[in-house]
Amino acid sequence: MDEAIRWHIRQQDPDFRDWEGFTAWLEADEAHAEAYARLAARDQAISERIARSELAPSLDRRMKDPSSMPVRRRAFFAGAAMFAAAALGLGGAFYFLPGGEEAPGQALYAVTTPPGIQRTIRLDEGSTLELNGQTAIRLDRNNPRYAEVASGEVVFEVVHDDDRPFMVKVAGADLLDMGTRFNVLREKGVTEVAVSEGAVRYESGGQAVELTPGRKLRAVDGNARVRVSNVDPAKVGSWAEGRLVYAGEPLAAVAGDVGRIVGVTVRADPSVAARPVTAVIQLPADREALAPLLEKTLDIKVRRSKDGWVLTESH
Amino acid sequence: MIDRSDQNAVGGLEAVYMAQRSALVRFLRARGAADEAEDLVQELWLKLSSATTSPIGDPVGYLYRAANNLMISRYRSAERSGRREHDWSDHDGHASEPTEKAVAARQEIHLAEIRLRALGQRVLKVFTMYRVHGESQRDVANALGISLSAVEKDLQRAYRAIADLKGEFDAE
Repeated sequence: MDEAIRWHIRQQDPDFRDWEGFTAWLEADEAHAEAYARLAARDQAISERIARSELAPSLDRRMKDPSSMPVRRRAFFAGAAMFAAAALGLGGAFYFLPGGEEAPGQALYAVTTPPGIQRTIRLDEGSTLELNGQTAIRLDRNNPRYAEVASGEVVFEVVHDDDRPFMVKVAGADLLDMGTRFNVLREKGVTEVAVSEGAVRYESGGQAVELTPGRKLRAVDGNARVRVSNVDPAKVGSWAEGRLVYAGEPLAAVAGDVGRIVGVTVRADPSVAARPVTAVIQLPADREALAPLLEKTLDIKVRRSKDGWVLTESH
Repeated sequence: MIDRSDQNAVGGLEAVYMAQRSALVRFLRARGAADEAEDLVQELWLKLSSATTSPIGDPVGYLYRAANNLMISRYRSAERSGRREHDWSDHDGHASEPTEKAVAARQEIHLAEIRLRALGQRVLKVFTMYRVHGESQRDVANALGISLSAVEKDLQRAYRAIADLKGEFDAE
């Protein structure tokens, strides 16, 4: 395919002259001709779409002239800094990560939340990101339809736009929104994506799967296979609405959710870790009130140690 | 009554066409035209000779590009129709449902565009200038103040995104 790409790029140039060489390459292998035919057809379809969208007024925001980039970048940076400060509250964390691969034209910046603190970020194109505690993401100042999830948990409520698709990168995988509300959890080498509305396409390592509402994907680092299971769409990302909803999940999963919200390490004692939980927990504004609420609702005991909370048998 | 300059333009192109005709047939065949290559080159020439009114800077390239575009259109319309041999619904005048293949192609184009746009503003700008506006790589490099090899790399990234065809996960 790389050869087909090389020929196609060269051939597009107005100065291209080597038509005989191109013919010989096509003739050399039927696979060459097939790869080229498909590429050229895709290219033309996409070029037509881009030419059309170039005419749309909304494009001005998207197609900044890179030759005027230095000035605009600074102006935009001030705006982004203010926007980030507004999104995070005055004391909010807002860093530039030093490293990180940035594609040409990207201007990534990090947004993080401390343990136990949730934040809402409204992107200026209308989409909303709900960040759970202890979450790190990166956004692109030049592209409001892009986010990377480094760690933690985020509910994406994406305004769908056929001409401006939203993309989320997580642990080497791409999530492509197809009109959507979905939750992304990235923790301890595991990625989970659950969809409550619309659809999300998960792409990783040359393979893809489309997730519809009520489907949840689980990918473990180093394992090429992914697991897709059912989930109640109404409970996807419900933590962002102040509720935790369970229908048979093990207590260990509840411990993980509670930990992210309270901002301390919460684990379930092995004696109860596998116990299935079916419950709706309304999260109290005062997080301290959560421990007694859990004890009552789940019939457990919350023990506090210097390392955090341990959920154990109630007696 | 044909304008003299028109006659010259067509005449100049015709000489090049005659010289290149067998190479063009070979090209069309290599591009997948098979037995139709001879007919297609004829059809192509009829179209070009009636449409050409001004002299062409690179007549050989012009002919090859026209031939290439013809094959792209054929590929795309075959895909759109899903290469149906029997389209029963056409007989009673009802619009037929797009075939599975046509839907899949549309989806693939949509996803390729997402991937392309996700590569960032500069790649998209380079791609648009080169591919949509038809500027040369050198002109794109000069206009954006970047090196020629940077333009080439951006284009390769863009086309890898477009060409990136994925199989479906075999989910557990």
